[in-house]
Amino acid sequence: MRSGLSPEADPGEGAAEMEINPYLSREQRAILANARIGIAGAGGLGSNCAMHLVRSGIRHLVIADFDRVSESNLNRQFFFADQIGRKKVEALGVNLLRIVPELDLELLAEEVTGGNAVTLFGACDIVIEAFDSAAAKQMLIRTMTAAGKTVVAASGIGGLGRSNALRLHRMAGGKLYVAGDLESDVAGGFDPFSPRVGIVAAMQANTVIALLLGEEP
Amino acid sequence: MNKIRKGARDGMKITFNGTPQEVADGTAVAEFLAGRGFKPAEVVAEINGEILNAEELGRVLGEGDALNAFRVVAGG
Repeated sequence: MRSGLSPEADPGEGAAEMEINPYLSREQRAILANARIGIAGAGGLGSNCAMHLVRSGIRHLVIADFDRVSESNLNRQFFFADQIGRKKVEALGVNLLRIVPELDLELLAEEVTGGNAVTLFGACDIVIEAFDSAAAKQMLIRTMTAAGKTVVAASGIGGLGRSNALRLHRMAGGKLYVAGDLESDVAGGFDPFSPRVGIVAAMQANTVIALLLGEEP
Repeated sequence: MNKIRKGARDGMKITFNGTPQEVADGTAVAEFLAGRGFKPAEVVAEINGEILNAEELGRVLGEGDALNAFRVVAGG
């Protein structure tokens, strides 16, 4: 349903579809609505990044995570208290559909490995690396870039403050972007908190949208 | 014919994370990165724009190589 507030709202094709991005042109909305984005991991990075992507106009998502929502996730992840114990991908699906009721979500409650990553995310235009462990991050970056996919990863999101240390690093001729400070290790005493994790998750989403629309990432 | 070598290994020029560096001939990527404190389980590296997998870290650096690397740390 259209709000009628968009100056370029076109009552023709797709008029029945909900439009929450009046600031984008019809062409830009079409680019975002036709893209398919993979999200490997639905924790602090993945759940928040997915939320930003849906609000920005992404309509096709492939989200993989084998984990369930726990109490300690609620300090930073896009879940709610009444979702504790549910599979993360299912809870996230519910939450994303509350923002935009019509989405094409492929929700995979399974572990992403070096053996299945290309199969799971092969149809995606861009893959978000949103894992927790360093080993899984390293695996996904290597596997997906070797398969020719553009990867938007994160490294160094723990702790508090130091906002200006959070940057976007471009590598592999633009096939890899890494958001974070590259050093604040959650396994090394930098506990994860909502603001810093959220900044990096938003940077990842911002990078995806910019790449799709041909803007400077 | 004997070739006179200056020391054990000759030097060559590469760039590391954008900064010019001189390294000894025959230096492998893994060796270079270990010398800068990178652990194999926590590094992603690229040479001349190509991301290296675990085995490729054994590759020997060549004159003019552009090596970039960053730490992959836990947290998500």
